[in-house]
Amino acid sequence: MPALSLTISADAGTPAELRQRLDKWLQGLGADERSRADIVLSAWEGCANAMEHAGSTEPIRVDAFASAGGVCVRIRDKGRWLDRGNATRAERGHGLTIIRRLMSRVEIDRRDSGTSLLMCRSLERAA
Amino acid sequence: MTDDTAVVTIAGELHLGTVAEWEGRVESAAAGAPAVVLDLTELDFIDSAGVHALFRMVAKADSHGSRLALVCPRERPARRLLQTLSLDTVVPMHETVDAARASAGTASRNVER
Repeated sequence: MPALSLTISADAGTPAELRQRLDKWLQGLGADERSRADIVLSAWEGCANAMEHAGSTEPIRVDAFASAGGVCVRIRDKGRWLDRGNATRAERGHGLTIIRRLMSRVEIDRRDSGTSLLMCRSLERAA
Repeated sequence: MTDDTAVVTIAGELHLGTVAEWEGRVESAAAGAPAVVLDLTELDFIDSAGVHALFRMVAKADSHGSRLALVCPRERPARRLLQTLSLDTVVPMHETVDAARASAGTASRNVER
């Protein structure tokens, strides 16, 4: 299964395209419904974080690829996850809390050039 | 007996991009009602921003002295996230609108006593 690559506008404000394309790609890998829902939600939370806090209008890049026994999704933006927006600190933290709960490995790489969020987990195959 | 419980349906997607719109709709639909039932049965997708909007709706209902109950059947995809973020600790969650209506209505009458 080739990797999936898509870009999402920083002001998209809707997960519609991500939901549709990532879910279809995960179906191609044979992922069951629950795994697909968990991974799509985690990827969206990563994108939402970037939209709210990256302080950049550059598109957000999403790459999904199969890894040994599972899948990884990498979300990259050109911003630095500034503290801004209306959400309280507790609310902001919850996006990452969800990602950490639903995915088995989460790595955040913050650089001047942008932020990269990598999330991976094993896949339950549909029966 | 008159039932003045407001039943408001949130269907489709409740996320970062739609929470403001839904909060506005729920607020106007629930205005003045002693009890409010939020029906999430047709909700396909919810994110952490959506769950926090529900927390705010609960708090707002509390501050107006009205009682809120949720409908979110166990098999729905939203249910797990609501529980993961412990929304079920601040508001009762029901399988059907009737059950939620009974709970919210009874509770609000109890409060008045």
